[in-house]
Amino acid sequence: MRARLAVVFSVLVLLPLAAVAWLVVRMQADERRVAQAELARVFEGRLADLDQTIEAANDELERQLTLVLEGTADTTDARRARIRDEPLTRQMFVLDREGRLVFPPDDRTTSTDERDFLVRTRAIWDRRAILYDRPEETTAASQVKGRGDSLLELAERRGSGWVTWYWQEGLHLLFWLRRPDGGVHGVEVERIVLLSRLIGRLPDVEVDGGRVVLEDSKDDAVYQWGSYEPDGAPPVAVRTLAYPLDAWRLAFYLSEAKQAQLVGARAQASTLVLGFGGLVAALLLVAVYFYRESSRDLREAAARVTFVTQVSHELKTPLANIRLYAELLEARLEDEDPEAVERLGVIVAESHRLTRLINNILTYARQKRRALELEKRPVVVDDVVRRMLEQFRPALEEKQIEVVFEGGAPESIEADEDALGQIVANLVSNVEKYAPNAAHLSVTTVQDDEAVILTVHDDGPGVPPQVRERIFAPFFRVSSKLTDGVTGTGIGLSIARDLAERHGGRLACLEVERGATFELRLPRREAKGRGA
Amino acid sequence: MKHTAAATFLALGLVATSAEAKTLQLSAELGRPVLLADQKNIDYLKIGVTGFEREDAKRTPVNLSIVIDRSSSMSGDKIAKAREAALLVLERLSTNDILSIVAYDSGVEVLVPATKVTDREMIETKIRRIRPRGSTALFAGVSRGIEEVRKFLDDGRVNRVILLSDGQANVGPSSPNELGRLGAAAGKEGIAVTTIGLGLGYNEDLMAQLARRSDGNHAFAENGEALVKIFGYELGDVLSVVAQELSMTVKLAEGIRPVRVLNRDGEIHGQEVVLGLNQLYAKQEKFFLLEVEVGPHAAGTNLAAADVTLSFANMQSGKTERASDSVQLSFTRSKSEVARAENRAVMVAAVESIAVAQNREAVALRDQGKVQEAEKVLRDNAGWLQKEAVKYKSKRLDSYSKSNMDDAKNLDGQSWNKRRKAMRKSQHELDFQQSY
Repeated sequence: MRARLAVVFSVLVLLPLAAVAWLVVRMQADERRVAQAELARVFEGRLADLDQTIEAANDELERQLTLVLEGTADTTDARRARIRDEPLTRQMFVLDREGRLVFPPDDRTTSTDERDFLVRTRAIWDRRAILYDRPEETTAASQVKGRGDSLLELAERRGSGWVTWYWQEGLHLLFWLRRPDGGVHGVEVERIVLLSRLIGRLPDVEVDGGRVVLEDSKDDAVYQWGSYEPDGAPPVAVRTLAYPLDAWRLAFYLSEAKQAQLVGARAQASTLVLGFGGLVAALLLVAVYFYRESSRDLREAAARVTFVTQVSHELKTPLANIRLYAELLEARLEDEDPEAVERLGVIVAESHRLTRLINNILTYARQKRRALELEKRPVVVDDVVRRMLEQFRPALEEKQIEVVFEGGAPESIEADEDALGQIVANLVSNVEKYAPNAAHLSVTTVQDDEAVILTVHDDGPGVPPQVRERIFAPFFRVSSKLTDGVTGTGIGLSIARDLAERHGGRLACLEVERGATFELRLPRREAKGRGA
Repeated sequence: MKHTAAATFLALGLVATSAEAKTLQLSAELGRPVLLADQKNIDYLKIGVTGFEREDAKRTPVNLSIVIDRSSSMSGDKIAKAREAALLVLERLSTNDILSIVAYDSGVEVLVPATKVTDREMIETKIRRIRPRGSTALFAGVSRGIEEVRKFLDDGRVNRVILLSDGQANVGPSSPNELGRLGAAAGKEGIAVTTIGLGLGYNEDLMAQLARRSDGNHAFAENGEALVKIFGYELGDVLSVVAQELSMTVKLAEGIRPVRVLNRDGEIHGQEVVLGLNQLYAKQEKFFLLEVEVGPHAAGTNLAAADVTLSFANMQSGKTERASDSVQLSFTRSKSEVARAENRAVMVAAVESIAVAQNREAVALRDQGKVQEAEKVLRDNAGWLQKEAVKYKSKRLDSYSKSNMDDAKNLDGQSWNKRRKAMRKSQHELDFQQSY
């Protein structure tokens, strides 16, 4: 019982405890994730600020290039002079309204640099390169055509724009501008200078103990600042630069330790854990309290049983003497004083009842100690029934209960006579206790090759169907008015069933229309029962 | 930048009395002013400019950025000497000069933003605090240096970045071509980048390209001691600039085709060649050697072969000035007459220039692992130089012949790394008439 209680309590406590612990861990992980995401957001925000700086530089670059283009006279010499002077200008180009490249000229005055330019941009002028206005503006039409737009086609839609492509050492950038005459002119930007100037605009200071890296399309660091040396772990935040520099990205690296520090500061995990810890502690306290309470009840009950058992033992001998002397006195006064004999009969009957009570208690106690032994001898069931009914006669007459016995088991079976008597006595005693006055009690025995069946029936209030099994549990009493004012230990039926089972038989409360019927079935041959 | 030159200059009040103002010398000469008639000829046109000595005892104020490698490989004597060199520069600058100090490792830090040299103590403290750490973000370093100079970009100043590196650039762009393009762009703005390689670990190709394309100097300092000396020479150059933004246009007569500029970069557009120099130092000649192909002409023909015009900013007068020169070409059937007329100095320069190209070729072959081929190129080069040295009675060619022979013997083993750096340095020195 105690072991089972411990298991139940463990389950009751450990299960919610485990659930709470799991919840705490989950919430903490969630919190950490949230904090990490927040951290990433913060750093992404920082990268976004940097990107804005770069975009601003980009806008300025576009303005500068526009000025260069518009401020250069429309002659080959002027353009060549401009290219010699402008650090950001690697080359210039002019398309006429028919899309013919008129600068750099392809003739005997073409310089080596100009020829190199013509070679690396040939795909653009031949309209083999797939040009898009902006990467996201990939039009369905150009897909279908299987080629990109020409610069002139792009210029029909917008006044200026970028063309980016890869050639040998990396990214090349063309900035173009629509001309009033319908042509296009533009600049090939000196990428390395653009990058150099970008570096001039980017910070060189510490960044929260981390490092910001400007990475090219091969993820190689182009420029970096902050003292942290990345150890190969991925960046906490990344931002691709705005078009046309979208081949490059900014990445923010931070040491694990620093991340944990920042995440911890944000997560406030301690209060969370404390809260859950408190909950767990409270739950444990409640559990311990209830466990102690219920085990105290159990201990107290056990103590009571021990006490009653001891007392019962002490009562047994004086009770036997009382019964003996009362019976002797009854025999002597049999013919002299009928009134005295009648009173002695009450004493004898009551001492029988007390004996049964004590026997029941002792049997129960022995059961609990698993010390109950049966002494089997040949017994005639009918005889045992007759003797018990005789014992109960005075009490039953008192309540004017009519008894009918139909004996049908004259042959002996192997059984413990006392135990059998106890079963019958407990069944009849229930009738005497619970059936109203002037009720009918019928006891029937039937015998066949297999078994002896004893039926005890009364026409009292009966047993409600829902408790028909539970009445066999120890200390169970059908509550409500039925048992009001009736004394008893509540262990009679439990003992009766146990004894029946020890004989390899069974005791059941049958379903009947009126009253209560108990059926005891005992095997005639020794079955593989629980009896010793 | 150019357009504001005069105005800024006047504002600085550095105008000298124009009557005394000296100007530089422009000279255009042909290696062979007389050619054999009725056949195709190769000739060499040397266009030289020589700086004058300032008489006003003043010098052009400088706008200088010192970019120092403080990667961990600079530890020890190197960083100490680099500090010493920077302090030497600080010492020789005056309050009218602008100085900035940039240090780079994995990242870059502007230690001293471009400022007039007034608070020497502060600058000195910053220099003395330079400690080595991290890797080599050379590109970022030089970018920041250029940026600092650009803050006070001024035609009236000598705008220069001095880059010091002892290691391979391992953060950011690092190809010689990319750094060369950056140098070219700096050159367009009138900023020269002088590159000084320290020790045996730096990338001499990258450093040489950066210097070449920006018209800066390039030097190889084997150790810290040499470094301080080189800084001294460099400062000597920087402080003696007398002209800037030199732009020359060569117009060749029809029938004379420009093939290539032998020793420097130039732009050839048909019959027109455009050449530029960032600056010119006092009493020093810088020249371009143009190889031309002359078509067949009849004997007795006299030809106005080329007109050269020059425009430049005179740092003494503070004005943009012009100069011009031209060369004549005649044709004969007499080989001896051709030989007699030869301009020895021009021919020596041309031979040297061609030999430098061969020397470069040898390095390229050696880089491909073709040691024997490289050696053969160098030995042939030395032999040819020897022959030409005798022909033109030139000690210079004789010495260069010996130097090529030395190179041929050091193509392998331990000494190659150092030799390669020395070769790159010497190629640059010869092509660019570097003073040190």
